Amino acid sequence: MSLLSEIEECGEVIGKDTIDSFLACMQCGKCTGSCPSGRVTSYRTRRVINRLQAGDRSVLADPNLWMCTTCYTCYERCPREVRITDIIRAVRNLAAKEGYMSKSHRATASYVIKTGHAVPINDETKKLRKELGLSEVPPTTHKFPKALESIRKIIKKTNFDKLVGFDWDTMSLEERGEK
Amino acid sequence: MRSLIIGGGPAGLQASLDLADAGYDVYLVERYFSLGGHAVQIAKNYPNLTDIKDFMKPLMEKVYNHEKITVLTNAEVLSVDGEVGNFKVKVEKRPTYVNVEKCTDDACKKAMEVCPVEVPNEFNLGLFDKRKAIFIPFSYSVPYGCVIDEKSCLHFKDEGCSRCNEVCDGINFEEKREIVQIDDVGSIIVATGFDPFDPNLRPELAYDKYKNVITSLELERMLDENGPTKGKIIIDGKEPKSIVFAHCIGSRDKKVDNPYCSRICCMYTAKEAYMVKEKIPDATISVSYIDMRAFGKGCEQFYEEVQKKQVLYRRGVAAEIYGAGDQVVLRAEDTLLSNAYEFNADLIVLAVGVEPRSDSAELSKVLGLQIDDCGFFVEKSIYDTCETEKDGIFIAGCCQGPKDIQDSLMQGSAAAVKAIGVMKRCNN
Repeated sequence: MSLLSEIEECGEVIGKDTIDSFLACMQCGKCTGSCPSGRVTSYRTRRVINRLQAGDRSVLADPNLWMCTTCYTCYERCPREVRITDIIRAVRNLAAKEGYMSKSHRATASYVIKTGHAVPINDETKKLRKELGLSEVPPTTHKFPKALESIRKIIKKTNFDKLVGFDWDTMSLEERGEK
Repeated sequence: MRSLIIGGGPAGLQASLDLADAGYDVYLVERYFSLGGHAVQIAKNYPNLTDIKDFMKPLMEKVYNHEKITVLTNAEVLSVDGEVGNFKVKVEKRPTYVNVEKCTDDACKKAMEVCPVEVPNEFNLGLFDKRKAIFIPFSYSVPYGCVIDEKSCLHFKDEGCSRCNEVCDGINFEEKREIVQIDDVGSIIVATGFDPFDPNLRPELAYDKYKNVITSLELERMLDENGPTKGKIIIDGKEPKSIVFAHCIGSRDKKVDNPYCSRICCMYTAKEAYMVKEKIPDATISVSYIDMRAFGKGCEQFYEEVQKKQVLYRRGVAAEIYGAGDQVVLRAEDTLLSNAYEFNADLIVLAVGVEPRSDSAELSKVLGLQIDDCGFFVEKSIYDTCETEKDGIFIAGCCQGPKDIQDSLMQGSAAAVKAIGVMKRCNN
């Protein structure tokens, strides 16, 4: 299967039009120049799109793929309306399937499994909520621990736990050699 | 049988002249106070750096003084009825309240001196100087002489000012709006030109935020020896020493509904970079571009000449612009190096693209013509870019699609030939 159709499959929910839009990239560099992450990392948005156009599979193993913060600035500014951020997300799905996933993304996933939140509540947030006149604990899994059971059911059913390498016995991530 | 030309820029002027020289009567309708279009705001042409004034001034005068041509400036087409061979056209001629026959250097000077109103001078894009409510449109306007802009003149407000009238006997506040009915119009040529792109539609370029971020047309006014700065490049009282030109602003950009290439920006930027380097030899000049399109005759050679002037071309479009002290910073990716860079500059020039006139949709209804998704008039076939779906109505110049002065003149001539053909046919 070609890299393009594999990405299309992984981006099914986003749609074929979105995935195909990267074929219209004219290599102007608006995305890289606009990228806040690229200011501090070696992530070069245009290069990723360029390599995808060329069918270069090595992009899946590139740790830079995980440096996008999905802020959507490139998406907003792209003069050819390439839906860059959505494409990056689909490519990450494919990369994760092949066993490439950044450690920090796995860690975030483990928080979801453990707490139902990618960013669990902390004392700072509680204080801020109180100041704003909100209940200290939000009406999520934090308040309804039973809902967490449903989330875990989904995670097991979709094999998300295996994808990120979550060990239910130790309730932590398995050691994985960084690919 | 006569021909009607709408628009007095290069295409409309050339079409008028060719028709008149072939023996046809011509009505030329121009919206502004003077003939010339945007071309007269530009100092020099590419690729040979000839003065545009040396070409445009004689052309405008020849058209204005041609016995076969009736020029209606400050006028607009209201309606078009009938069909090929016999259109009936209604034109609104707005008053200028000044009889230019009576204009003398002395009287004009006095009238402008006593006028108490000052408004930004639109010919210089409102950026450099003010003009009075009574003013001469520009240094070689045709017709040459004063006009009164009734929108800013106090005579037409409660104050009832008549100061210019006291020092000049060419003024007539009683002049009225006229409706000119033109019958027996065999053919019409539409040559309404373009609007430059408004860079505020790309807010990350901070055009409205910094004085030292300007458009290419604004720079043209500074490059003009007869312009408001007498040909000096001055930003905030100082001569800039580092300048970046940014290509493709409002061109090749679907986000602002301009998916097309504006065709002229690569070369006018090369020309502007060349002229700036001539004026400020120790300036550091860089150009951020996507692809270089130097397709006209002599253009690639001129591009090379500009590079040899130490103008640095870096591949990659301007991503964003922000301030840094007195300077502005252009951030872009050098796509050949795959690295972003920041260029600290005293001046950033945005090479703005060509857009259809903002009211092209209204005119298309008056004429019964089609416009495309972008607002340009639609030609009958790509092999015949002058003819339209409507028999007897032709298009020329930038209203059909972006093009430079040379191509506009050529399409003006082509449209004139088509118009002659159609009128011969109708006469037989």
